[in-house]
Amino acid sequence: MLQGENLRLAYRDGDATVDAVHDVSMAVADHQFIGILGPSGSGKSSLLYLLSGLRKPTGGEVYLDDRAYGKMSDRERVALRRREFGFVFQQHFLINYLTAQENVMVAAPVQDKAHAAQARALLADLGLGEKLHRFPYELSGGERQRVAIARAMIHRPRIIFADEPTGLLDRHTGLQVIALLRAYRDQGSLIAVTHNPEILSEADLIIRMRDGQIVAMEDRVARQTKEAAA
Amino acid sequence: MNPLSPLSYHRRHKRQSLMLTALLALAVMGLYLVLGVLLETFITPLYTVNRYLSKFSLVQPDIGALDPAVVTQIRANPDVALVLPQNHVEIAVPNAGGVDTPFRLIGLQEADVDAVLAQSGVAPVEGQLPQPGTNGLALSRELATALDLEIGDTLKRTENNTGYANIASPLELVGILSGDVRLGIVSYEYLDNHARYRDIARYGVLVIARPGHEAAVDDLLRQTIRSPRVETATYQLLREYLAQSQAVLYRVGIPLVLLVTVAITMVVGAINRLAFMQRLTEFGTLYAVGHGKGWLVRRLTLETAGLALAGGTLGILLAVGIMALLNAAVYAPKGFAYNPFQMTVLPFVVPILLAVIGFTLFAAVRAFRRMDAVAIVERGALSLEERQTRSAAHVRAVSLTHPLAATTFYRRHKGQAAVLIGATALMIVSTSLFVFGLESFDDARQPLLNHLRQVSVVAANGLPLEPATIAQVRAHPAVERVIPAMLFSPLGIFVPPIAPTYPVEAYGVTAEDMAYLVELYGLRLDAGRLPRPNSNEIVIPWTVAQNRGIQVGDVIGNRDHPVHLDAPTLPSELVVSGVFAQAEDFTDDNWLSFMSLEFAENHPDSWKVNLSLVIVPKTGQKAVLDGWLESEIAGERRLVFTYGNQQALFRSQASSLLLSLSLVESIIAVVAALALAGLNYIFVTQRQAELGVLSALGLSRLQLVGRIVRETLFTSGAAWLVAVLGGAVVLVGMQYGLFVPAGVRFNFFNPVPWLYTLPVPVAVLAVSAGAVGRALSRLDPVALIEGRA
Repeated sequence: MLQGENLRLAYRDGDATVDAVHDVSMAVADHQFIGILGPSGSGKSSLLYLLSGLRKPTGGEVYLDDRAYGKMSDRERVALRRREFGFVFQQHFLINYLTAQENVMVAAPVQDKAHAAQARALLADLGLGEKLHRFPYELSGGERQRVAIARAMIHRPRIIFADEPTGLLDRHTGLQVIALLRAYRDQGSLIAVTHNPEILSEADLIIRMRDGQIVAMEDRVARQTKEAAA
Repeated sequence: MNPLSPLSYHRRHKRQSLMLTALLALAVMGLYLVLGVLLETFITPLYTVNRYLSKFSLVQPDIGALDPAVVTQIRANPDVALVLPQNHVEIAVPNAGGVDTPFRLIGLQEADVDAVLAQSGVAPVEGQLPQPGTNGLALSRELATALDLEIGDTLKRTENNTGYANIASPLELVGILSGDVRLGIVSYEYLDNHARYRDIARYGVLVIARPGHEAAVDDLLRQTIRSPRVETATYQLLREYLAQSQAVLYRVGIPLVLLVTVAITMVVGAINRLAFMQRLTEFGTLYAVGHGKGWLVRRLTLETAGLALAGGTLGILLAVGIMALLNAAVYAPKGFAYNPFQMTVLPFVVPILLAVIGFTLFAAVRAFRRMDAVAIVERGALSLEERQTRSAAHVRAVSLTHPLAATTFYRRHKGQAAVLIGATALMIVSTSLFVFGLESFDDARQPLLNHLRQVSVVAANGLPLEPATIAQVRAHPAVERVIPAMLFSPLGIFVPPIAPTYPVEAYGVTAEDMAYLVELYGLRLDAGRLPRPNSNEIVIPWTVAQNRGIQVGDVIGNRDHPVHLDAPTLPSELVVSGVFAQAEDFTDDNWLSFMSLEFAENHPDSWKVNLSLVIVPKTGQKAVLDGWLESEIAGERRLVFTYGNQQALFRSQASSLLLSLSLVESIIAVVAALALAGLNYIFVTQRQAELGVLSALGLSRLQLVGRIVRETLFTSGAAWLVAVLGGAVVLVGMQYGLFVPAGVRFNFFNPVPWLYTLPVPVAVLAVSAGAVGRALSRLDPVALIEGRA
């Protein structure tokens, strides 16, 4: 289980101190799909960085199975990211001189033929079986994002962090991408940050943020009840 | 501020502009220093030390006495003010770089000394002038400094066997001179009366021109008086000799300049290209708003010209500063002060700047020709990228199993790889160029000593060997046979690539001893026969015959028709009666010639020299014998030549040169390492996005730095391989194009020059690792994801 307790992330903006995340606590169970929703500047991406260990909190603590990030060395935190987490960002951040298959292999725990075969299979599952050897600039936006998803999945992480994964895609492609991510729930958890509520329809829990704070938490049952009432 | 001024970009991109300026400054400084140090070490001292020839000239016969008719002819010339008798011995003055410069100690009669000093603008400032018939020596202060002598010190052959080879009897420094030129004055009578100097000193006249008629007298001596039998030393000849030496230096220097220029141009070109790609939008916009392509090309070229000007000026200033420091710390204290501002070097450093500007102009014209403003504004892409996309699509990649391997980036960025590998390889070749030349020459001359592998020699120094010494040598238990011999150097051998003529030795021995030595050395005749007793015949080695194009029956020693340029003058002609066969292994080659001892002893001309001893040791006793000869027999009157001491002499000559070259090459290595590491650093920082995403995905900084280091290792290794292969090809070319036709060879596997190929790649690797490590320590993957990096 991933847990954040009283998380705070502050940074200096001139003479003022701005809290990007302020006193946030939350937990992510295994195989859970968590959506973090909020307008720009609400602190949702910052929360994702804290939970994934990409940023150190200025207050509070993050635990993965009772292991506190704060007690880990930088090296351990990096190793944790590599082993346990997968990432999908708003931009694909594929390496432009590597082919689709190679970009997926970049996140493989070991670079060997078995993982190369696994990367090919994964890309084929994502509909890119014919484009294994294409470079990013030869792929469409949706295809690039699918390669990024395959890269996030190759090492079977426990949690995939997706930061606005559909932000630069058209609606149809965006829904395809989110469906692919959602399907991963069988293997691990998914935490997706977005400002688009449509893609979180299947989320187990939606956390709404504003000004660095959680303003609401809705589980699926509550949402369904609310929708039925409406 | 004019926003479209060529300076605007640099003002807003100070870091990049400073780096390029520094790079150009380093390159200019490096070349300036290399050529400046070489000039001040190898060329200028020749001029500095012998500039007395601007005050007077010397005339002497090739051998024997000067023809009185020649003296009369000189005296009769109206442009000549004075003709004074002189004799002299030559010594070598070591300069700050450890290179010997020949210098004459001129013997003057007492009555003539004042006239020569006045003409030279020189006066005694300490001590006194040499008294007639004494071994006193007066030296200019700078020369005394260079030779590390003070008043009361003596110049002895035993202290410097090569530099003072002609100092048959010690000379005592009695006076210090100071003035316009450097002089060394001894007593004419002393050299004339001393038995040991009689065969060593050269005799002739010293010629002083009337004021304003110096050029006319120089012309007279060079054009009318000079002949195969009469040698002249004039100011104009000195300048011609200097020009030739300078030309030799430039023959080596120009390829060096070319290599460095191409390498630096590649580096600057690559950096400019990256900057250009980043500025596509700017150019597209400017073009769209009405600035023509010509204007854009001009602006870009002017930007680079500004950098080149700044870099060039800074580089020259830095180099002048370092040269001034070197002068104050090393050269001036050794008596070889120089002007740090070297005009002659400037034409060699300017091409770098012009090449960089020219290349930018060429690249800009080429890129702007394909520029499509709409494509740039709409898609942020020039046709350059489209072309890249097209070519990538054409060459369908096959996905690699190890995409993070050290070679992947450069497999996909062949242009960058070519620039890095090419520039590094060129720099490696630049740093090892001189050493390959020097070592190949040093290797090739090794057979000069081979005749001393089986024997050792005790030679008379001026006076005949004492009977007691001969008896002592004969009685030594390690001695198998003692052969009386006269030692001559009737021929010279040319050792490439730019070497002088080396005298090769001949033993004048009896027929019986000759047969014995021929067997001892394992020599066999390839053509002709051994010299007959009491004949003017000589048998020479195959290598010398090949080197000088000599055949059986040829005559050597003809004073009017020398057998080769700068051939030693012989008292009378010799006929080549035979040529020895070449050794099967060139390292065993023996360059010894033989002639008849009886001929030399009985000939009326001055063939007769003091007898030396060629000593053959008993089997297994060579080391013992050599040790004994060196410690017990060598002395003021006796010179001992063993394989060991001659080898040590060769080595010390080579290593002092090697040291100078190492200094010079380390300058290039530093420039190369910084330039290439800078380029590598820029290439890496262009990959921030890649490194950031890898960091976000869980690659530690150590892993990222390790990956970049492995990539640099790959490019540096590839460059080293290219340079070494290129070097090997050049060596093969040198061996078979230059050395073998001259009858000599060098050893391909001498490790020294190959070791000189290592500093650049190692330094590039180290500096790159440091710079990249430092850059990556600031890497923030979140900043990159958020688009703030």
